[in-house]
Amino acid sequence: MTSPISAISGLSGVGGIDALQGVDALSGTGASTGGAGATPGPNADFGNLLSKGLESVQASQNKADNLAVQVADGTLKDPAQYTMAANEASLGLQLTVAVRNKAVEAFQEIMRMQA
Amino acid sequence: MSTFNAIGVAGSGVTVYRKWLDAVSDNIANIDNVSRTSEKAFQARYVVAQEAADGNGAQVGGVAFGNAQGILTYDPQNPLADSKGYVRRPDIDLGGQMSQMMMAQRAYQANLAVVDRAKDSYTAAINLGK
Repeated sequence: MTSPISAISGLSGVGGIDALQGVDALSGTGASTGGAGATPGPNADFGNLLSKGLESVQASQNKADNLAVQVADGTLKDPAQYTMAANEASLGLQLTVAVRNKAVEAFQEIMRMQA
Repeated sequence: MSTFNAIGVAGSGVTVYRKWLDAVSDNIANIDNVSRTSEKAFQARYVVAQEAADGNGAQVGGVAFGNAQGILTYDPQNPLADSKGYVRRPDIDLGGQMSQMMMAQRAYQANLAVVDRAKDSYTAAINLGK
């Protein structure tokens, strides 16, 4: 809501630290079988955040699309409204792609790690 | 309106100043209207700007109307003149309307400049670390 960057700091929720803690539990008494997997862990919040963000990006794209149609059929009074909505939609998409690229980058960084 | 708030706020300003420009153009278009003394003169339109209801930017609260009396002008040649030779003309000052138009135009441009700078800033933030 306040800052677009907070979504990126949300990426830390994906980090492998929690999974490593799950390994600790496995090496113990074996009471808990596997920290990762089907259980909604600490990443559920991040998933919600991501889907909410994608929905708002979709909404701004739809708004820009509708305004473009109104420009075409001449019902829009203020062309600046369309250009601003298009700007906002394009910024949202750029932000989405930037977050996705960072996430992929983090994943590849982890995959490159050697024991 | 949420993630890129500055664009939405400046956009509301753009809308307000566009309406002011509309009002000024309406006033100038009707500035030479003549009406009978038994009727109202054309009333100047004044846009009432105020803070937006949700606190994000500005909005037009309504339209205020100018003097309906207008100015009584002696013009016996005019087909609309009454028995004493008077007609009503709108009480609008062209010079005042022109300066209002300049203010509205510059403020419209200022708000669009804010949109532009906000977009540049957000783009810089998105490209951070690339």
